[in-house]
Amino acid sequence: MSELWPSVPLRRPGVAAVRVNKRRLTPGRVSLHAFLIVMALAWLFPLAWPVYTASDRSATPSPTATCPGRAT
Amino acid sequence: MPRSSSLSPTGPASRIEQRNVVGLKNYQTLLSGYSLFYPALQHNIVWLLFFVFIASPLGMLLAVLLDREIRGTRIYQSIFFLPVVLSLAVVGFLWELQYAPNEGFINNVLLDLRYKGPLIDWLGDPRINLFAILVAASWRHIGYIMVIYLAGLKSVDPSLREAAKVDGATERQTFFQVVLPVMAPINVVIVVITAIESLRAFDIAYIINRGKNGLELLSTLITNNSISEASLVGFGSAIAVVLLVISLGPIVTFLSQVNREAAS
Repeated sequence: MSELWPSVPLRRPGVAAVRVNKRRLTPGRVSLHAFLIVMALAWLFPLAWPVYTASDRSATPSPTATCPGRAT
Repeated sequence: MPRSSSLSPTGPASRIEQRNVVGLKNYQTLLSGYSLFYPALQHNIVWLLFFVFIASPLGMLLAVLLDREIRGTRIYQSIFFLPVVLSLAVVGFLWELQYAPNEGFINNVLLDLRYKGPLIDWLGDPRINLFAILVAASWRHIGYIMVIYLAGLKSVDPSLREAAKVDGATERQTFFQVVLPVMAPINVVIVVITAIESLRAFDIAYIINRGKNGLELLSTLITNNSISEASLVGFGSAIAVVLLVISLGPIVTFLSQVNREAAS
């Protein structure tokens, strides 16, 4: 047990340093995320636009409207 | 396939049960007298070039970017892969809403940006509608290529990258001089899949305007001749045979690549 203790303080800084490195925001990482976010939004937009158009009031048919060609 | 090649030498107005063998006349008409054949072939080539040089490299770029250990990579992957679950026909419907002259998103944005010119008919103008649907088709194709390439990147031995890093290579050098050569078989598969996707493009063009008015493709010509009112089954089959011959190149390359990988 006593042999294990000295290894703990030695390993901790290393682990902490790796974690800090992973989360550090570099300009490259920021621009990468900015590019991916813009692309992701552009990718979702063709799906979101029909949802928006579907909620548009002007697209609501009047209650008396019938399907074209259907006998009233 | 055998049915098409056996029907292609039949007369243009013949019915299946009344065979009227005309030899190579349908092919002769197709190559010399049919005004839509060369535009359709040209559109297929433009489609292929657009996919090979723009859409597929963009998919590969996204794969390379998402292969890094970044936060939210799974979310990005899911978003980019989302259009792949839709059929090209549905993609066509969705993008018709973007390109609609009055209610479409793109023209509305142009108006908001104080665009003064006439409304652009993205899908009705034969000079631009091919590129409009290429953007729509790329929306789906890029996600497809991204997933295939990402799977290939994940299979690259990490020790190769570590060795390159130890040798002092930058990230770009590691990719171009270590990863890309290792990915050569995947690159061939991607090029071949792209070629096949381009040649079999049909549904989105047919959904948008029945493959007419600037959207002629070999596949839509087959349909328009074979099962239209004219019912030129023999002539449509001749186009199908031409498409088959063109498609054999990438298909044979793909199969030989797959067989080589399976053997090794």
